[in-house]
Amino acid sequence: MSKTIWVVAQRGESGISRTTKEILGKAKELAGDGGAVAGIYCGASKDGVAEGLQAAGASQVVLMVDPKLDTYVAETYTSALGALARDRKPDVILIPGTLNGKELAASLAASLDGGAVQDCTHLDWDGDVLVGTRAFFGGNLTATVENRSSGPKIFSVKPKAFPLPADGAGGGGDVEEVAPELPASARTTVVEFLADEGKTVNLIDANVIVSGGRGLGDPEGFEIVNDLAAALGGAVGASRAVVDAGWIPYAHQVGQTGKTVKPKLYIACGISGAIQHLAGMRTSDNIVAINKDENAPIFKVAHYGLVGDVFEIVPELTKKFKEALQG
Amino acid sequence: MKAIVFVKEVPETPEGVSVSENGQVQAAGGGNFLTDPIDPFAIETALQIKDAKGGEVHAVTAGNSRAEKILKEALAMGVDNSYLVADDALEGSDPNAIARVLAGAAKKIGDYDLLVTGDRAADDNSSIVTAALAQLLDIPVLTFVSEVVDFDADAKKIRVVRTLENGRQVMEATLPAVISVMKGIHEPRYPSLLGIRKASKREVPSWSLADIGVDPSTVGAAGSPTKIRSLDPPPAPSGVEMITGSPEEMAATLVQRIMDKKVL
Ligand SMILES: Cc1cc2nc3c(=O)[nH]c(=O)nc-3n(C[C@H](O)[C@H](O)[C@H](O)COP(=O)(O)OP(=O)(O)OC[C@H]3O[C@@H](n4cnc5c(N)ncnc54)[C@H](O)[C@@H]3O)c2cc1C
Ligand SMILES: Nc1ncnc2c1ncn2[C@@H]1O[C@H](COP(=O)(O)O)[C@@H](O)[C@H]1O
Repeated sequence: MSKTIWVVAQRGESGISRTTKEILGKAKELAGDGGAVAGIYCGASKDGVAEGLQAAGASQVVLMVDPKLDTYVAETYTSALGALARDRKPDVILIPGTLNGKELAASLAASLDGGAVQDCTHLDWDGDVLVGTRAFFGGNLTATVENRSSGPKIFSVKPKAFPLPADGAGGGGDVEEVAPELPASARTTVVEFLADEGKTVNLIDANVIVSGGRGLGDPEGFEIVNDLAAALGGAVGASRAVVDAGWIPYAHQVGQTGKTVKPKLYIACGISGAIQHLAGMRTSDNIVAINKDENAPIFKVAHYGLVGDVFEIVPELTKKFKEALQG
Repeated sequence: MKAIVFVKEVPETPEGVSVSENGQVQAAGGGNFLTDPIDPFAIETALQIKDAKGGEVHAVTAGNSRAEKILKEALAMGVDNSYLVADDALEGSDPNAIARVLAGAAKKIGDYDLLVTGDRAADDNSSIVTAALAQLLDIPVLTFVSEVVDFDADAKKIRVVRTLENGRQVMEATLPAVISVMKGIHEPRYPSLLGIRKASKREVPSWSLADIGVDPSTVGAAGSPTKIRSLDPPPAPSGVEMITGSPEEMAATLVQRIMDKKVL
């Protein structure tokens, strides 16, 4: 069984995004022997894109470069990608599951008379049918969903669902430039982008997240969390209770109505572990919970539990981690 | 200004939720569905535009005749009219197919300036309907809106703020357009007692697929491009190791564990 799998590329801080690379790695496995993995890129500049896609495993690259594709907009990207897909009929289209990626997946699927499955964390063939696994009801359930669209089967994929492929996993491959098919007039325009201050809020890409909850007592309590995060080179997360209380901006919120994260290490400080919080962090690789209540639900999903006062434990951790990392 | 808000009934809790043979999501014992918690935010967004600019707001749901209840709640909040799309052929529809149904309902109501949805339904968490609806109606889409900055019915323009992973994006689209709103965009108003009383007396028109010109073979279990095969509890956690001792001892043990595992 050999298939043609497209991976829609997103740009990251340098070159293509980490999630794009992760998906390319998975796509190679799904394509099978003799199958093709095509990295498909829309944008205003093609600097370094083809190389990045190839290095992560693409056996073909298609670049659609046009000033009108500078920033992602549903209409223009759907038009360009839809026309290419109608022409070339790939079996599967995988899209990084960012908010824009999900919008694109839904829009593209409708334009191709098919359907999308969003936020997949696993993808597997069952015979000839590609099946995705995704969180349902805020992560309280796991749904296994098949895509039987007659045209390309579209899936968006959660960041960190799949491991980064080793550098140089691909190599070679054709690079082709295609003139994108674009709408006659732009009905949607990007006026401006206001980046979150402080890059430290990049929870999605962080390997380490130290999160604080109401157990920190007051906004000043976050200092011990900030210190530990800094010592570990990690980002600072928060429960909704403290975001609602105005102790820390919304950009830090983890959970059902905040961000879904999957760091290598998640340290929850004074967070009870409400189901809506767990929905955003339960799949983290290593979860440490620090709480003075031994019955706090956070201990049910934690790998390591420390019962006690955050103000006594967290500064100690900061000190010991600093020592260990220096040594 | 004419706005249509799309509301959905969802199981009250995830407990006992299952999926039928044909892909239909079911609540435990068949009961307890209520208005998706995101919907009042969508309704409030449309009502605030109406309060400022005049016009009318309609609410639509596609599902089951049971969902009349949530349409009455929309009426009680202050929408002018509510419509139910109920048809046996809808059983097992996925969100991609539901978008076709809602596009049919929007065309039947006609002459709309703005369509409003939630950013994701509480049960399927798909974020599919909004962008699919826009594509099917060939109008612009703005998802994950956290603020409506300006709505100009004369110039036929809407300007919004979208909250994305790494910042806020200001976008503008021509009307008619579809937007999806995030929780917290506005505090939803409570229905007044009078509103509730009036709503209880209102008839909610019910449309079949034929009424809205949607081909039944393009929806339902057979017409849906995706299908939920199973719903399962998330994988059981691997079990916690409780680390004991004085704060200093606990810290030392944990750091040892993490360093040994080469997590950092
Ligand atoms: C629709 C909906 C969506 C929601 N979305 C989210 C979401 O996205 N993210 C989210 O986080 N929540 C969300 N919530 C809220 C959620 O239900 C909880 O209310 C919230 O997560 C609680 O935050 P917390 O753990 O900080 O506070 P609490 O539940 O008050 O817990 C504080 C914890 O700190 C411990 N503690 C107190 N003092 C100390 C100390 N000195 N040392 C150690 N431990 C201490 C206590 O034992 C307690 O366990 C949502 C709720 C709803 C209804
Ligand atoms: N059956 C339905 N009837 C009316 N509106 C719906 C229905 N399903 C979804 N929606 C709308 O689409 C939004 C997003 O749903 P989803 O794409 O399923 O996450 C919801 O918040 C609703 O506003």
